[in-house]
Amino acid sequence: MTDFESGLREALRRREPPRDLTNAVMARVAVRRRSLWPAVAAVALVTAAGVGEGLRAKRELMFAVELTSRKLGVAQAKVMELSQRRIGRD
Amino acid sequence: MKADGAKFAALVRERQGMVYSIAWNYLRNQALAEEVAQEAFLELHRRMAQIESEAHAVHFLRRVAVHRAIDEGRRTRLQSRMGLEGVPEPAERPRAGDPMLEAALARLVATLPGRARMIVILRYQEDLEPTEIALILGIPLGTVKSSLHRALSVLRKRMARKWKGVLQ
Repeated sequence: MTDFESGLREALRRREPPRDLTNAVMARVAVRRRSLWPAVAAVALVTAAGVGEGLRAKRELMFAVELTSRKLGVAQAKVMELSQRRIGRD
Repeated sequence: MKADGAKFAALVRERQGMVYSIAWNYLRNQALAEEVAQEAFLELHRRMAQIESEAHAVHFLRRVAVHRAIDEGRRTRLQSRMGLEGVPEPAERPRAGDPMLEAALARLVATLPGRARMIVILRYQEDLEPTEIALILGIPLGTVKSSLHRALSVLRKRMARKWKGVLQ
């Protein structure tokens, strides 16, 4: 390494940072954490509401499927009855 | 890595010199350098879940500090106009290791264009190899090498013009 490069290294050596830099960073980290809590709570609330909504939709769907299944059962019984009658006539 | 309070504070304490100095040597303004350093650490805190090791954290901090400092320099148009003319005339011929000479060199570095200045800082402050500098700046290795070569040549010429034969 030349004298010139050694000079540059000296000129650009690391500086002592302000004494309270770590405290300032940690204070901003704490502020960020505090400001994140309402957002986390809101997300949790929305998620919980979404889950509740989902459960209600599932119940309604099950009921509709059950109802359709019952109706189909009745229709099938009618079809069977009609076809039995036709067989008896023939 | 976990962003545990005490561990993170220790990491800040250990690496603040590096982060602050990158910003200070580039911007030559204490308030702006401090702001860049704080932002870099906050960014690290936000991304701690993705940080795999201390070496990764150091690389991340360097990268964020470098890009934030460059952005800040552009934003505030803090292109120091202070050339060699702004350097006080020495009472006697300075020697290598002379604080006046170091100050003059630092001021000369500040007159380099943004990217070249950051390359010189990463090479001589952080002692990084051109491959690492290329990775941090996201530019080809050849560009780093040629910029460094040109920057050193310009600095040498300007130094020679003022203080002939002091540093070779």
